[in-house]
Amino acid sequence: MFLNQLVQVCCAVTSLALVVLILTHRSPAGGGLSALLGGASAGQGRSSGPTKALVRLTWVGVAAWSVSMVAAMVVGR
Amino acid sequence: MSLALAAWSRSGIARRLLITLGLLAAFRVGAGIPAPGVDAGALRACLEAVQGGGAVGVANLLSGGALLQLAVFALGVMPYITASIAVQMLGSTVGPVARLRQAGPEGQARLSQYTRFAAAALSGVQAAALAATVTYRPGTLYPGCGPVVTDPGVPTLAVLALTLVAGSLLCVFLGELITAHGVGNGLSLLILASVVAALPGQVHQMASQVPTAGWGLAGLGLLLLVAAVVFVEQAAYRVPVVYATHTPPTGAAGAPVYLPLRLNQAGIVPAIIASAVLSLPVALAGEAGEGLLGQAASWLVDTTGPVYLVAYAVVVAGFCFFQLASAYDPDRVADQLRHAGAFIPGLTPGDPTSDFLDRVTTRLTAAGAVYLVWVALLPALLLSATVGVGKVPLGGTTVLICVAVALATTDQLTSGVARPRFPTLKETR
Repeated sequence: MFLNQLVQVCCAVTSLALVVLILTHRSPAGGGLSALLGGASAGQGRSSGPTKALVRLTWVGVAAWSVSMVAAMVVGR
Repeated sequence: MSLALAAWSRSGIARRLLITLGLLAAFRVGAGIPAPGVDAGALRACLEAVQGGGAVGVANLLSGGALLQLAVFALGVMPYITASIAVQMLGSTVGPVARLRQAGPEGQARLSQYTRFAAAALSGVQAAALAATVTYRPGTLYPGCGPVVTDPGVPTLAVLALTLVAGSLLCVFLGELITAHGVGNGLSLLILASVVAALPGQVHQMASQVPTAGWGLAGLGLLLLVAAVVFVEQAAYRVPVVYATHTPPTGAAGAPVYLPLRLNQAGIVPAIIASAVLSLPVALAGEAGEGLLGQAASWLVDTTGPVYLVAYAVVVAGFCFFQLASAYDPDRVADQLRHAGAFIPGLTPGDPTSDFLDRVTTRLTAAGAVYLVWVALLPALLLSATVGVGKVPLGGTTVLICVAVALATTDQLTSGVARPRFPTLKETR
């Protein structure tokens, strides 16, 4: 029970952190619907992308979130 | 085969392909991991009671089955697509947003950021609704089923909702990574991956409904549909352009130059949006009771009935023309041609050229809307009339998504192979 609650707290914290990181992460120009409709090509507008530190931090966030999700799945069984 | 070998032999394309496949695999893994707090055993038992059709069926198909499995990627990229459409609508009507659209890459990047905020807000609403439904009223999604969460309560609900929002944004992030570092358009490929993942279930459902004698007919119909979609997706009206002052940008002096205008300029989005929009009243039908609203919603339940067909055609055509109005500006194209010293034979630069382009694109969009409606509805109507098959989620739209995204990705792959690769500065040292 305690482990379950601990994992749930981890899931909530990493989810919140991931949401903030991804929202802070500036996307390359030309995204959105125009990209979906086929207007964007690979590598467009990389100059306006995020800083390297933010990219690293985002990947750390993605990794932490993934680990907590797998932990929740294992504990939930 | 030769295309694949040529692509693989070029290290740049091979790396992009590997990145794309890896990110698509990560997306599919996320679609199979249940969200925290979900009782996997109870959910497995409940999934057997779920039917494929209706609003839930469409949403579940677009998420690759992740929605009903309450996976961490249950919401997929649909909130982002909806937010993109909303921001694009605002860009056509609200002054400050329109100015941002015209402000070059910096304005586009800011609009993209706003779209992401809107997507987060929208996925928050959808996640809260989904979490509340599975916590307090699971029977709405899983008929005759009990609780599917381990500990029904506000904390579980909050964690579940937060996880679904993070999962949805991560899907968008994966899509953008594919667009930037992989092959093709990331969001389209994620939708394709979801639809393809749900394809075996759809085929199994159809096979159980179609009598054995009708399999040949259904297979032939599918082949004809794929051929028709391939043909129309590549169809374009080529407007001849003459350069009066200098060599055309293609570099082939004296060779004819054309301005291609695609027949289906709106792509796959109108068909997806129409399916999603029309599935909403169906979802509300159960809540609306016997009143006027309930009656109106019940007409839309019959996907081969006249009310549904007319409503579908209106939504698709409306979105096609909205897309044309917001994304294609004939005045701007006419101006660009004039600045490049080019003109369309028989037309003077400026207003006559702009009027001509406007007239042509309007007619093409009308034809494109008719094509989208036929592709989406004809298979279901034919199956219903010939072999009596009932509801199949998406149907023709599935074929449209698969073929259109595959063609666009192949085009990008081909252009990547054909493009000469020059050594980088580091390699020349």
